[in-house]
Amino acid sequence: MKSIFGLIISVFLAMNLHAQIKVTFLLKEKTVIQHDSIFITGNFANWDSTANNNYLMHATGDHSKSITLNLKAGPIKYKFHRGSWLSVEKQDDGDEVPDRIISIKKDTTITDSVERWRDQMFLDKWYALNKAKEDSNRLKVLATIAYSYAFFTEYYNADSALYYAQTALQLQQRINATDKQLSNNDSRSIYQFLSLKEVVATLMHSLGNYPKSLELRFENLKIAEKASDKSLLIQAINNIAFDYRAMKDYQHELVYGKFADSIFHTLNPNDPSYSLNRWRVNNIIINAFLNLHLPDSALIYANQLINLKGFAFEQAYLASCHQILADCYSAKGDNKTALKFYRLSLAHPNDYWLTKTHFGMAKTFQNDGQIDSALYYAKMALTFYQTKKKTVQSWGENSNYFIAEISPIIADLYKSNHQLDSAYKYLQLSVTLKDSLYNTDKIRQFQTLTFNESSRRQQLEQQSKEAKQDYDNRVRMYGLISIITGILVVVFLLYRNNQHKQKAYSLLQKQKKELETTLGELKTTQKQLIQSEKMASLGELTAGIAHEIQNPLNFINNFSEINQELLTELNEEIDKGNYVEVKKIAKDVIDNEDKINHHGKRADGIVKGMLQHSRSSSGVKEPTDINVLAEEYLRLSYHGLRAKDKSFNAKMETNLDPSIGNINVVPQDIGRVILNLFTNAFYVVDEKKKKGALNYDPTVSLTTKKTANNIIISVKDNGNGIAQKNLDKIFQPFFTTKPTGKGTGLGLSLSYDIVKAHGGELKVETKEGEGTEFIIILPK
Amino acid sequence: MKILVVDDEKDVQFLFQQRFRKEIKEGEINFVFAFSGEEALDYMKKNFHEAVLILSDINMPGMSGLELLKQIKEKYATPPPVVMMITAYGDDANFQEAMKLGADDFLTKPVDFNSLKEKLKTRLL
Repeated sequence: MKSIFGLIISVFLAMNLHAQIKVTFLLKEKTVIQHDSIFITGNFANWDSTANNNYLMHATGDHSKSITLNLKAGPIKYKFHRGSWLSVEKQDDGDEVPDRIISIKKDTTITDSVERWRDQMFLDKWYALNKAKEDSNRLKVLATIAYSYAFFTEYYNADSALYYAQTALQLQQRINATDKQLSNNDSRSIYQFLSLKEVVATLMHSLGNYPKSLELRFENLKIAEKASDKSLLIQAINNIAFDYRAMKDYQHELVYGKFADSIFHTLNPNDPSYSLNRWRVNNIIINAFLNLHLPDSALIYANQLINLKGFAFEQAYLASCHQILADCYSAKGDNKTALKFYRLSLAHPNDYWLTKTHFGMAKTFQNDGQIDSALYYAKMALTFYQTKKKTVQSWGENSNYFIAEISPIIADLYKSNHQLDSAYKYLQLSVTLKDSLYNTDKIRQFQTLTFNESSRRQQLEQQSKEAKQDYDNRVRMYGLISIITGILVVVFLLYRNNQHKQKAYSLLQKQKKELETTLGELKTTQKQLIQSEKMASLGELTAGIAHEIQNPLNFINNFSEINQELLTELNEEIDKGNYVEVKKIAKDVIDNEDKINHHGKRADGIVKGMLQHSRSSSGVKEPTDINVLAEEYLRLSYHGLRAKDKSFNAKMETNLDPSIGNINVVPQDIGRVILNLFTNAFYVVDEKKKKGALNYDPTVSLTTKKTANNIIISVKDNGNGIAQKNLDKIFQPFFTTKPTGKGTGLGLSLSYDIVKAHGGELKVETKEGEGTEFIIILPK
Repeated sequence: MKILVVDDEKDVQFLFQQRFRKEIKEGEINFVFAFSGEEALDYMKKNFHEAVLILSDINMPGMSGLELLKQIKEKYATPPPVVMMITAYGDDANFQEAMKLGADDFLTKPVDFNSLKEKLKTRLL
């Protein structure tokens, strides 16, 4: 395709001693240019792509346009557009042209050409699609069409975008099968694959189908890991975090944010994507911290966003930077500083951040007790999300998510104003939306995906460990063996090759089919097993609970009966006038009341603990006394086992650090971990005893400790320890050394995930024949 | 009349002292308390002839009540002390096991002190 416009840029020489150079851009053309406004934009204009008359090119009368600018000597980047970013110049296949770069030391003349403009996007693409003969070209055009429908607000159309993305994906897979492009590890084709799937994932996310989006993004993560491109990997991880955010699973959002951060730290500071990736990673971490109510941690990451350089969209960067800082201060309760930063953000108009800023201001004004201002900004934000659904979707987000966030705040505000009708209306709105966004189906799908991904990760770690161990041995062996056997094998293989090939192929087909069926069955079983692990540990608890309830009840019943008797006696003594005795009895009554109260609370705590355990985790962290929690589960698991097996017995030792105080954890989850460790510990000491160890005193000890940054919970047994060959596998799902029916093999694996999700570590130290210590390290 | 009460719940001491305050005041019954099976055996070793009746909880960390019962019945055959078991599990298996080991009686928590008093009176007086 020949260019429509010929473009000549001529730079007139100017004898300028102050390094200011007069540059005239000249644009020659036959028809359109006569009637169209054409602008130039670039780093000298802060990439301002709105129609700015300072950069409007003037007709010269001889089929050309020109503009003369005073520019600084040095490198300049620039582009041409026809009034806005939507009509910027672009290439034949629809891609935007890269920035034009020239370096001016003295005046020069440069000639360029513009192929097409962005606002002619679709016409050209369909033309290109018809014209493309080779599959690889078709694929590229299909992908750009999908991309345009998905991300350009003015063309947003989810159905069309999905159609083209899926057609492209199918084509991609077909090409892959025939020309082996992917298997050759051509990195460019990997990017195509990744971005096509990401287009679909973004569309799914914007339509509120978060599980599908997460599934695709996990697949992308695998591809990105293979491509070993750090920037790509960070982006893939961030997209995953983004899905967790949408599902309000801020723990996982943080986990993936930190994961991305760890990769970011290996990035070269001279990498062109350095600032952008810093911004992306911190954005995720900050949002997670804010939602986990850790504004101080969020602020540390927010401060790192200040003064980053090299953003293509400077205005959006500045708006976001101030908006995020404001959110942090607002969460800290510093309303004044928060509002200062929100106003700074407003100075850099950008729809995306503007609405977030309005919502942030609404919350800040609410905290400040300024109800009317809060209502004003909250409604402005809400109206935006309600009326601009397509715009929000083209950003890859779902309006309903934000509406569900904002409407309860508005309801609250109306309530403070005693307008209960309006309050009810907005509350109802949020309830309806939340039901559709976060129904149990979606939550379950998310849990399954999360579980599968963490299994895959553990397998990868395991594989690389094993590979390393085997490596040394292999190197030695291979050298020797291959020389001796190599020749023999080749001869043998050549002879048998043909026969085997036939056989092997049909066998492989059969095995493949069998494996596929098995895999399907396994997945179903796995889901059932996770549930049964929960129920199994509940079963272990019930008997313990019965015992633990009877004991306090014993005291409550008896002390209250005693008090009845004592009060009758008290009356008699009053009649007799024996006040010395009266005082003595009264003191006893008070003491007994104390006991009743104490044991009543004890029973209450136990029942609450049980309910918490059986309920699915709320996922909400709350200040928890680790000592009380651990001791309670120690007793419960001990009595639970005692109830099941009369012969079971063990000594319990506790060594608790009272200075720990309360720490922020999800009590059901950490309780589950502790219970699991105790159950295992009691099981192994009991096994050792039953095998007839001499002079053996089965003992399980619980120790808690505080260090500078962490809380340490240790569960130690003096059983037989863990065999070296099993040590690497104990945290893998479904691995168990217990006889069939005694353990699901999920306890430690789930425990590991839970502790990781708390940002902690679960470690094991063991000596064969002497015992094992599991150590939970939690951040304070 | 000395009764050895064995239970890992410390408040049991306070409870018995209140429940039997009249009997204690009038010197009818004397209580000693042990908070584990080991402690109880230790007491028996030193003061065997003093304890006439032993009341023991079954579920205790370390040595269980049943183990204590077994050892007492093995070591102190003449004269055999009366051993009554108290447990939070009123199930049949526990009961059978206790009886097999030679327990003289079996009570469940929460303890009904009126019936305990009756039993003590028939056993001791």
